[in-house]
Amino acid sequence: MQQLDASQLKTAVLAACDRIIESEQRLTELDTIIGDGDHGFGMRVGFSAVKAQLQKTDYAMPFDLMKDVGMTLVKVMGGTSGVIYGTLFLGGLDAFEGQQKVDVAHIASFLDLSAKAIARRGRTQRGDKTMYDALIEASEAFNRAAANGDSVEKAFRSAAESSAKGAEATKSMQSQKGRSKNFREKTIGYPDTGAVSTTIIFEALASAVETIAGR
Amino acid sequence: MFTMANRDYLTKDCVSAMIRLFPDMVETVPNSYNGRALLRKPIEADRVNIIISTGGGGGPMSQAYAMSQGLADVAISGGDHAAPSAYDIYEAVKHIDSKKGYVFLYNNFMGDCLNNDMAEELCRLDGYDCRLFPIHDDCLSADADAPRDERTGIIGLMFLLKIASACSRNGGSLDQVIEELTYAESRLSTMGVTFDEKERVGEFGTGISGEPARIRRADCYDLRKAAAFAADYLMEDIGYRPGEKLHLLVNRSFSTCYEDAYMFAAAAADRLEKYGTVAQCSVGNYMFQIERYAFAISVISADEKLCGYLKQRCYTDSFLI
Repeated sequence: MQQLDASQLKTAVLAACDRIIESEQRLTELDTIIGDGDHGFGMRVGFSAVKAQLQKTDYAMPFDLMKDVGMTLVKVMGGTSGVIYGTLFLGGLDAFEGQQKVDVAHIASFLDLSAKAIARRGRTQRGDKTMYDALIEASEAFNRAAANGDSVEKAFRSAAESSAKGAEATKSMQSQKGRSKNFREKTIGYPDTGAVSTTIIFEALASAVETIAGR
Repeated sequence: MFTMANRDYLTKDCVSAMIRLFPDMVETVPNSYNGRALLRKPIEADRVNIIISTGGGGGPMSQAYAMSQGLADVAISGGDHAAPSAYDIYEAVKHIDSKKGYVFLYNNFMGDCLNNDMAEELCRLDGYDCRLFPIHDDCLSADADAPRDERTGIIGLMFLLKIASACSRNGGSLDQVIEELTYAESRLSTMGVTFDEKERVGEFGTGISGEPARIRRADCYDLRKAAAFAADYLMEDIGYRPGEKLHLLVNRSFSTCYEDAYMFAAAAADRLEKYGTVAQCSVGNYMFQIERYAFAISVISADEKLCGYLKQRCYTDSFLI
């Protein structure tokens, strides 16, 4: 499969919503160790609102779908996660402008722009032990997939695997951002909760797109 | 924070309760999510409006306490333990529609910075002049040699709210309010204080979400000694200037009794007299602090002008400051 339309993308995003909602307890447990324990709850509330919004709306354009997802997250969640995950869906919108269907190159560009927007807004970089460590791996995997001419499902699978590696790598890092920064060396040995959430999203998107593609 | 209510509807239900209880005092911004943006009535759009939009704290309505004549004009609350959303801040600004501008006052935590930053961008696109004012009063939240902007904020915001509001009410422009806040913040220092019962040590620098203390002292496992140590440390951080008057504020956590808070504050006030005149003391439960026995102690060393702003008394539905 070489392209996704808005309806297929909506199916994939809904799958990501379900996976995040199911993961509340796991995310809360992780965030309680080196944060203030709000991540699981916030993500569940935000992605539940996205799910409700998507279920009542039909989208003709991927742009409108992603904008609605991002704005809902910013509006409902608040906190660091609201802005950062909102920016994940809003930051790359230019790449989808005017497209009825999006291919691997469009999605690669979308993720590249989103990652840059998150780095700018969050003043973060690779190695800070944030969700960016997982996102940038996924983004680079998509860029490689676009260069190779891979299918959409293959690109999403590569992105999910790379994102998981990025999240795993955060275990050896000391937090440089957010409230967990104050836990200093105690953060070493645990993955960043935002990086884990990002991996959950990419894994759910990959599985959903593979199902859509009939694999 | 323990609650018997359904956490998913806590904000919405709490807003309804507040409006039911204090209809002359608060209203909600119509388009805010679950009513999370609360306005103090009546709206005064002809002056700089002070918006407090900082951390979830521990209760979704944890900022609503700070609204009164002389404190915040708007309080934006976040979700459970989450910073207020950029969207709600933006909606509040549009609803008030002040042409004199807005100050977004918030503690320097990442979620607060991100949301206020995004809100300011959205408001700027609509032609509103909004200034960001992150507060960095927690002197033990960063390394001793780190720049002040690496510090987070705790309860010093109560002093800054009074100053910003008084300046605005006196007809101060947005630039003037920011100038006064910048000066006031440079004369302000705060820290969290807890006690380790198992190891019998006083702990200094414990964060509002339980971030570990930076200083632990066995000789401070005592209210008076801990208060004196904290007072000395804060004064060292501020650097007292002759002629200034000291204002002391002690926040007690929900788990700390009034009796101990008064004794701790009195001991701190005694110690502060070593440096200068203590003009005013406030003791209360002004904001959420970790769910254990804890204090936050804040001192501002105020010149005549700041004293003028700080001497007004502000009543909320919860406290007098």
